Amino acid sequence: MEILVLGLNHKTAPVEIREKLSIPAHKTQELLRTLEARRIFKERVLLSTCNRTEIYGVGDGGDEAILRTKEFLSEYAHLKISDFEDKLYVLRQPDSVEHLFSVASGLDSMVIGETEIIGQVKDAYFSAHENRQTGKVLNTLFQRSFKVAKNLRSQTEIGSGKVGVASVAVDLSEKIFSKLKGARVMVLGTGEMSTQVAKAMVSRGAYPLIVSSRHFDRAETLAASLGGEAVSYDDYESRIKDVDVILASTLAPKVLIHKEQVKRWMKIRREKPLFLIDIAVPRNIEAETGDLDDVYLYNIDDLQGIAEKNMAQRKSQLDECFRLVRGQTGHFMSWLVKEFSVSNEASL
Amino acid sequence: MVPENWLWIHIALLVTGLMCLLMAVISALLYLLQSAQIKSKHLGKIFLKLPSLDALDKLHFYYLSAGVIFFTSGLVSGIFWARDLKESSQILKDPMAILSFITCVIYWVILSLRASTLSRGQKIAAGTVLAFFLLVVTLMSSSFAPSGFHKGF
Repeated sequence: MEILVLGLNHKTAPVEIREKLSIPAHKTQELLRTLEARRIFKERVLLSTCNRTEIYGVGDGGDEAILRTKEFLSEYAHLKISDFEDKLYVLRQPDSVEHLFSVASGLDSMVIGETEIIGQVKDAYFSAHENRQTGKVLNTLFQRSFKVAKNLRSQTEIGSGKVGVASVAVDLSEKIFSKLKGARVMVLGTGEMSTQVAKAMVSRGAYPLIVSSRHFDRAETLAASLGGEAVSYDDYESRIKDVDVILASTLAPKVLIHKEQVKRWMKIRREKPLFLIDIAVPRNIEAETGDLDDVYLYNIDDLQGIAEKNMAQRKSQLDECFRLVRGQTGHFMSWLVKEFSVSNEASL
Repeated sequence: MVPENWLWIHIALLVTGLMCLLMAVISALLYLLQSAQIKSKHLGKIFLKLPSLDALDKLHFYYLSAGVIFFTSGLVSGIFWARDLKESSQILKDPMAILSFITCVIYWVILSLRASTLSRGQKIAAGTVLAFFLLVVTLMSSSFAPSGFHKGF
């Protein structure tokens, strides 16, 4: 009896192969039953995300089970085995155990330390469990993997800081205004990056947006898609009193917001803190504006710099994380050996 | 009321007020520290550990309000105590009492500006720090005062 994992991910396979082998959630149940009907493994879990497709199995078949799994994947993806075999990894215990612990902890993700993966691993496990595809080994293994992921986050800084420009901007806003719920965001210009940041802020509960652009129709479209109101570019200053965050990303080739102008705004706002995010290149907001009391100015390089620093911080934690994962793999393997030697003795 | 009772009320109110004003200055300093972190764009571990500016501002405001009210009540109870001792005229000769009234007025100005939202954020936090510095000088003044009620306290 051994634990195996067969799979491919963003490191081993290009998107053309990954998309063919990707398994949508609504098909998981059916495919698990097909694997069961073909007696491929005694226990099985299918994990499929946008970056990986993996089959975790427990059985005695060894090479035979591996070959039949490859045939199953080939059939499902309508690909020849030779088209994806070299991109497929096959790991046997204890490597398969260590791999699952790393995946669940976000150590194997494209964005190291991301947390979405733990939810996806849980969904994959619960789906298999509900369909009675798991037994003692995979139940224990997956539940252990959730604990390992949790422990890694509390014992290391693998999840510290945000690593995307939009989430860094949201994080900063929440360090100024507590919660974005109640904060009002004004978007000047309708560029892709400002849309992304605005979307992230709305998803965290920011009040309906105020969108202003020289192209009023574009402002209306963005306001309609994210919820909010469009304001003509000539009128945006009249709304400054109501806003807490200004996202500037117009294509104007010169500075649009000057220090003296913001100084006036601060008086009208009774010195309520103002967060200015200048994502435009060339910049839309005069750099010296950030010197004013209670005005916090960040440009695209500042946000990018924080994201990169946080990513470097996460990478610096990898050695410690893998050491902890190896330790946990050792504990799990001890349990597995003990459990099955007792079971075998009992069956004799 | 016997003068001794006024003395205990005076001490209790002032100690409570000073504790609140100490908490207010701590939250003001944390506000200034967090604000400086965000402005510097070099976000260290302190940035992650400290609460948001909004939360620190609210905390600062609550402690400042409570501190100013208790501190003022403490001063008023001190006046009653002096009156019962028939020593009211001595108040204006006591350096600590005079400095306390000045500090109290400054605290009321800061509190009024913040409560009316005429000013807030960094300026009010800095104001609280300066007022607390004056409060410390006030408390220490009894040690150096040549005369007055509080001499030696």
